[in-house]
Amino acid sequence: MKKIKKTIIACGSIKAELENLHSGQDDIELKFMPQSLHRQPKKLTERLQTAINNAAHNTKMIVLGYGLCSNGTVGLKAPGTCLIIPKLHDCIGIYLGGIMHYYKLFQELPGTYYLTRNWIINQKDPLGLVNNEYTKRVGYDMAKEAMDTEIKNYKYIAFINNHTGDSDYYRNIAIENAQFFNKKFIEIEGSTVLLNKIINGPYKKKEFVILNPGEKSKQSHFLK
Amino acid sequence: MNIDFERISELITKGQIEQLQEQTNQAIETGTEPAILLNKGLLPGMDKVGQLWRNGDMFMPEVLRSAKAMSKAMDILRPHLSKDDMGSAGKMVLGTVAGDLHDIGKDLAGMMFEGAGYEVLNIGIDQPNEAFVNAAIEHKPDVLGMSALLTTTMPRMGEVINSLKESGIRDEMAVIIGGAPVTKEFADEIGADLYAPNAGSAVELTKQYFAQNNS
Ligand code: B12
Repeated sequence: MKKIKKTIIACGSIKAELENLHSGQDDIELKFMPQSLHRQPKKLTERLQTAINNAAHNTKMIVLGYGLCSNGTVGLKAPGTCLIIPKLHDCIGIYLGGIMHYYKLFQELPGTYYLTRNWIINQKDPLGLVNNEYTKRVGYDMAKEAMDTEIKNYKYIAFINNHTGDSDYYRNIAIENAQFFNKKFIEIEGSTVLLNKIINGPYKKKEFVILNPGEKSKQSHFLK
Repeated sequence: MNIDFERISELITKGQIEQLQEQTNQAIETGTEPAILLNKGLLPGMDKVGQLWRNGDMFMPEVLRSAKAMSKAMDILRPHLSKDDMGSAGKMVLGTVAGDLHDIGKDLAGMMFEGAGYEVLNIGIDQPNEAFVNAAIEHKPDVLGMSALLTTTMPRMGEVINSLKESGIRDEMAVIIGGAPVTKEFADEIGADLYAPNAGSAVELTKQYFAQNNS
């Protein structure tokens, strides 16, 4: 059996973006995992390892569409193939096109709560959370109070525009959030540079953790 | 009167604020030692909250409701805690490192240390490295606690430890670090004395640490 060139195992949160960029090459295979796994990093590790094991015998290289994600990608290894993981901390870095941009924004605009297309669609924006998740659990008043407490330290609500889907709609929801919670709205230009690199490379050591067959990923790989 | 400590713990985990306030007041009025109420009722409740959260059995708004219940109960207790209880265990400076605005876990840890008899100076979120060092110089704490919830901000903890060394005061305090992405390995690597996976064990580990190092 001829092995395929590359398997990308990615978080469901960047599915639309990756599918847009994938130009139908049939030697590059895309696989997605449920986005909700990010809340339980230990489970994420288990599920990713299983997906890696399943893919490993049939591919020449595995690239993850994940960052360190709260240590969810620590302890992974690919039997018999290289394993490549972007040197990122979370999906915000992916949307911004790389870690340096993230660090820069972090310094320039501390106190920013980022919203992306995907968070909004999944109603994980603060207002969406209050109305669709929190209120069910604790009633509206406590739900609102909980969210106020959560984001009390934030000045800005930023919409990262990735020009995927209906940007006007996402922007309006971000603005609505900012008004409701008394924050300043800003828009940040997203970037597909890193998303593109996840699919097509090049995989430079500066931007990617590159593991030999069987080698295990460590937290320290990401922090350098 | 017999105080049902388990019930009090449960009121914390369920976040039943008014009932908890009632029970706390009642316990105090009927002569329950505040320190006992704290250690047998409130703190185990808060510890449970941490566990439930980690296992995915409790969600953010419920955690925050419980934290609110705890702090309301502490407001009732505080005036009754004797000078001996407060600060008897030592002094702690506690904060979240620069660039990081997460404080829910840090504040839970703060409550647990306060409950264990520490005087806790909570310097807040997004604290630059110098703020930790200056607070350490000014307040001479027994314990310096740092929290980070982002892997992007974790490295600040190591930098603070280095600055403490440069200021020549590193050995005058135990440094304890925590937050979801922090690991024991990371703590060892940056030279922290203690790492705690949750706020409850943090207090225990700190007690053990001083028991070993002061004998
Ligand atoms: C709630 C939350 C928020 C809230 C914060 C509210 C607040 N006031 O703190 C909000 C919504 C505002 C938020 C914002 C952001 N967050 Co956030 N957040 C979380 C979440 C869901 C839970 C954290 C929490 O409060 N847990 C509950 C407490 C009880 O647990 P804990 O903090 O771990 O604390 C316990 C122990 O760790 C320990 N402990 C903690 N500190 C200390 C200190 C000492 C000394 C000791 C001894 C013990 C100790 O004791 C506690 C009790 O047992 C985590 C996911 C997760 N599973 O951890 C993401 C998470 C930390 N956030 C994340 C991200 C990406 C962000 C944002 C960048 C998102 C954005 N869209 O902008 C911003 C960051 C802004 C900034 N600069 O800080 C990522 C981090 C990824 C990374 N880079 O490492 C996480 C892991 C989610 C994810 N997987 O994507 N967040």
